[in-house]
Amino acid sequence: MTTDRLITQEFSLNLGPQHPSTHGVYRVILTLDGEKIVHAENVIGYLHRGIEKLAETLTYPQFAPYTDRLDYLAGVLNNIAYTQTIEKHMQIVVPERAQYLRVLFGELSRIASHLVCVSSMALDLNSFTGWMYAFADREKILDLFEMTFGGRLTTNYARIGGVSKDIPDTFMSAIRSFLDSFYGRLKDFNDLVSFNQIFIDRTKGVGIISADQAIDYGLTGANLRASGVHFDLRKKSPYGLYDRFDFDIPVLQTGDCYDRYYIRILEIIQSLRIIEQVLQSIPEGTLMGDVPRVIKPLAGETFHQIEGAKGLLGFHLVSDGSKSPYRLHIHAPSFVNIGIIPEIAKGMLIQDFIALLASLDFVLGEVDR
Amino acid sequence: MNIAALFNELQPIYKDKLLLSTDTTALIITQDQLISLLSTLRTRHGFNLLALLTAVDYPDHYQMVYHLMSTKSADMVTVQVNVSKSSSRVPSIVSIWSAANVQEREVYDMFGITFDGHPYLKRILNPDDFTEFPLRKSFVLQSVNRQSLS
Amino acid sequence: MTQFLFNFLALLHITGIIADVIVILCYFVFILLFIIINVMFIVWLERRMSAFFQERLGPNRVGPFGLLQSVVDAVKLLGKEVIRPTATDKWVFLLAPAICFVPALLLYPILPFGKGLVLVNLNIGLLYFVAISSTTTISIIMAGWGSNNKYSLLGGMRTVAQMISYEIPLIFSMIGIIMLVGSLNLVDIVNAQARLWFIHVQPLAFMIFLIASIAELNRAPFDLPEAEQELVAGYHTEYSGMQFAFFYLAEYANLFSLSILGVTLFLGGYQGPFFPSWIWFIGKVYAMIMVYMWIRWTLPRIRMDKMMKLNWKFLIPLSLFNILATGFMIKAWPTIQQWMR
Repeated sequence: MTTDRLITQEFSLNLGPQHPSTHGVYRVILTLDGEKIVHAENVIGYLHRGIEKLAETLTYPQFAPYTDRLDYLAGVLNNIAYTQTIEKHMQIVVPERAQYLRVLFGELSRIASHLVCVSSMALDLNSFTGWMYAFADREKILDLFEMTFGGRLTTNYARIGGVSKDIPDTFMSAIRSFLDSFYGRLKDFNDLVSFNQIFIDRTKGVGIISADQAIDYGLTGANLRASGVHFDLRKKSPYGLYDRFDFDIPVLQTGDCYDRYYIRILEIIQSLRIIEQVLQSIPEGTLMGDVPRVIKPLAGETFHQIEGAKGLLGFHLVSDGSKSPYRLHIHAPSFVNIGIIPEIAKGMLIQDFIALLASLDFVLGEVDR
Repeated sequence: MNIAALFNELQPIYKDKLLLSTDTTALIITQDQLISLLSTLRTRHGFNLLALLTAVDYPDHYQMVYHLMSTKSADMVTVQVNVSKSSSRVPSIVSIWSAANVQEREVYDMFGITFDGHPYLKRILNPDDFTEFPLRKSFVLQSVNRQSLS
Repeated sequence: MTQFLFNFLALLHITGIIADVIVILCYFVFILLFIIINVMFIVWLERRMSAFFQERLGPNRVGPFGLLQSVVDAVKLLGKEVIRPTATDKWVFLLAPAICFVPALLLYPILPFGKGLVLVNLNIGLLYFVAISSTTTISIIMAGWGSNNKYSLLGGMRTVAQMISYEIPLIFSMIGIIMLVGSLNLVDIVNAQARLWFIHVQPLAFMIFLIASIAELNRAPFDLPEAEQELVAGYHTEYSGMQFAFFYLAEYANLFSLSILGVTLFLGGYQGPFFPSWIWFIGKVYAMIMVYMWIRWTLPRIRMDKMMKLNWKFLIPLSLFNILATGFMIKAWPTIQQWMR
C-alpha cells in the first residue's frame, strides 16, 4: 500500500488556555494531521484587564504601578519605559544617581526575565533540573529587588523624575556575592542544558524565522537579533545612560529555536558587563529630579520606546493637558511577537511547536494587557 | 532623518494630500494615499519595521497612528490618518507588514474601526460576543451595579 | 520457601487443595506488600533524589527524613473521589488501570530475590517475563482510547509505537546471555555469574538493555507517552484518585521489576561475598534504580521521530551485531584457547 492511498483524518486540538507549557492563559487551536500541525490559530484575551482604558481614568503617578502588571517578569523595565515617556514629554531631568539605579535594576530584571525564558525552555523540553537551576538564580535577583524596594514582581520602582528608593547599605555586598557565584552557575547551566546533545537536537533547525520574515512580522528584541538583524535600541538610539557603558549586542544568524534560546544566554552575559560598570561608577546624589507636585503635561503627543526584555516596549501618550492621559497606547512586544506563530507552526510536530512557543518568550500579561 | 526634510521630499509626489502636523512630528496623509505612502516609506526610505499601530479617539474624528522605524539607523517617522466617525473605515496595511495583522485586529476590537482588505478581522482581546468598543470615549468605565441602577 | 510453607501447613494438618490455595494467597500478599513497600520507598527516593539534583530539600516533614510522605500520599489518593468523565468508554476506561497493574504484579513470582528466595522457579522465566511485561501496552492504549480525550489518545498512540519498537532491542539484548547460559531459567542465569558478572562479557548488551528499558518504562528522556509539556499527562490525563494511583503504582512496580531483571541478567543477581545474598540483591537493585533516576533528572526529552530512528537504525542493528559476535565468540573461544596454549 502506498502512503498516498492511506486516508487520514485531521482533528483539532485546543492547546490551552490551561496547559502546562503555554506559559499562561494563551490558547492555540491546532488542526492536526497525526502529530503534524496543519493550521494554527491564536486565541488570546483571557488576561485582558483593559489597562489602556484604566490609564484614561487615573492620574499619571497612579498609573505607574499598573505597568508592573504588563510584563510581570521584568517589572522595572516597564516602569522605566512609562516614566521615561512622561519625562520625555515634560522634559524633566532625572538625577545622575537615579539614572544609574534605573540601569542597574533594569539590567537585573532583564537578566531575571531571560533566566525565566531559558529555564522555561529547558522545562518545556523536560529538563526539569535546568529549570530549577536558573530559577534559583532568578530568586536571588528578586531578593535583591526585595532588599531595595520591597516588591519582587510588582516592583513600581521608577518614579516620574527619579526612583523611589536608594539601595540599602547591605546591597553592595549582596550583589557582589550574587555576581561572583552567578558566572559559575551560568556555566553549570550551559553544561546541563545548552550544550546537551538532546537539547540541541530538539531545537537546532526547528522553527526557523528568516530576517525578512522577522521584520515583516514586527518581531523585536532577542527574537529579531537571533535572526541576524543587528537591532538593539540600547545601541542604535541610546536612551537613559546606555551610551556610557561598554557592551556588545549579540547577534546570531540562523533564527531557529536554539539561536533564540542561546542569544538570551549571551545577552545575560552582556547585561552582567553593564552591571559591573554601574557598580564601579555609580555616583552619589539625589534620587528625584525637579518634578511639579501635580503632573499635568502639556497637550501633545509623545512616543517613547525602550529595549524591553521581550523586545521594543513603546508607550504612545496623547495628553490633553489634564491630570490623566487622553490616550495611552502600550506597544507590547509579546503581543506582536506571537503574531508569527500561525505562520511558523505550519508543518511542525507538536513537540517542535512547544519548543517554538518557549523560544519566542512571550508573557501573557503583556499580550493581553 | 528629520521629519520636515522627509516631508519636503515627499511633498511633490502627494501634493495637498500630505500634510505636516502642527508640532512637526508627524506626516498626515489622506486615506486613499495611505498604502502608497507607507510602501514608499518602506521600500525607498528604509523604514522597514512597523513599531506601533494604534488609534486615538478625538471628539470629531478617529486618528490612526503608524510609527515606522528603520532597523539600520533606528530613525523614526510617524504617519497619521484621520478617519471620520461616520464611516470609520480605513485601508488595511497587512499587505505591507504582516505585523499589522494582530494590531489592526486590536484597533478593530477596541475602536470599531473597520480595515478594508484585512484577511481575518475579528475581535482579539475582548470576547467574541462583546458588543461595545471599549476604548471609544463614549464607553464609560463604571461598575456593573451602577449601570443597572442608572 | 514453598516447601517450608507446605511443611508448616502440614503441621497444622492442612493438605491438598486447601493448602495450595493458602500458599497462593500467601504469595499474593507477600508480593503485594513487597511491591507496595518498595514502590513507596522508590517514590520517596525519587522525590528526594531529584530534590538533591535540583538544590531543593524534597519531602522532609512527614516521619524521619520525610519517609512517610508516600504513605500519606497513598492515603490521600485512597480518599479521593474517582471521577469518570461522561464521554468515556465506560468499561475500557474502568478496566485499564487494573489491567495495567496486574502484569506488574505477575512478574514478581519468578524473580530471584536471594539464594533460594524465589517463589516460582520457572524454567522459561525470562520468556515469561518478556511475555507478561509486554501486555502493559494494551492497558495504556485502553486508557488512551477509553478516556475519549485527544491528549490521552495521542499519548496512547505514542506508547504503542514506542513500547512495541523498543521491546525488540530489549529482548535482543538478552539473547546473548541466553546463548551463554543455555537456559531461560533466571536462577540458572544468576548461578552462571558466580565467577564473572555478565556485564563484563556483554557490555554492549547492557548498554542496549539500559536504553531500551528506559523507553519501556516511559521515563525521561523517553517519556513521550506522558509528556507533560505537550500532552498534559498523556494517557492518564482523565484519571483521578485510586485509578491514577494504580497507574502510578504500576509504573514504579515496572521500574522495580526491570531493575531486578537488569541486576539478574548483568550484575550477578544476588551473588556477592560476605553479606547475605538478599542484601547484595537489594543493594544492586537500588543502585540500578539510582542510575535510572540520575538519567531521568539530567536529560531533556528526545523527539518522537528521533527516538524511532535511534531504535530502528541504531539499537536494533547493534543488538543484532551483539548476538552475532556472541555466537562467534562462543564457537571460536575454545579454538582461541587452544592456540594460546
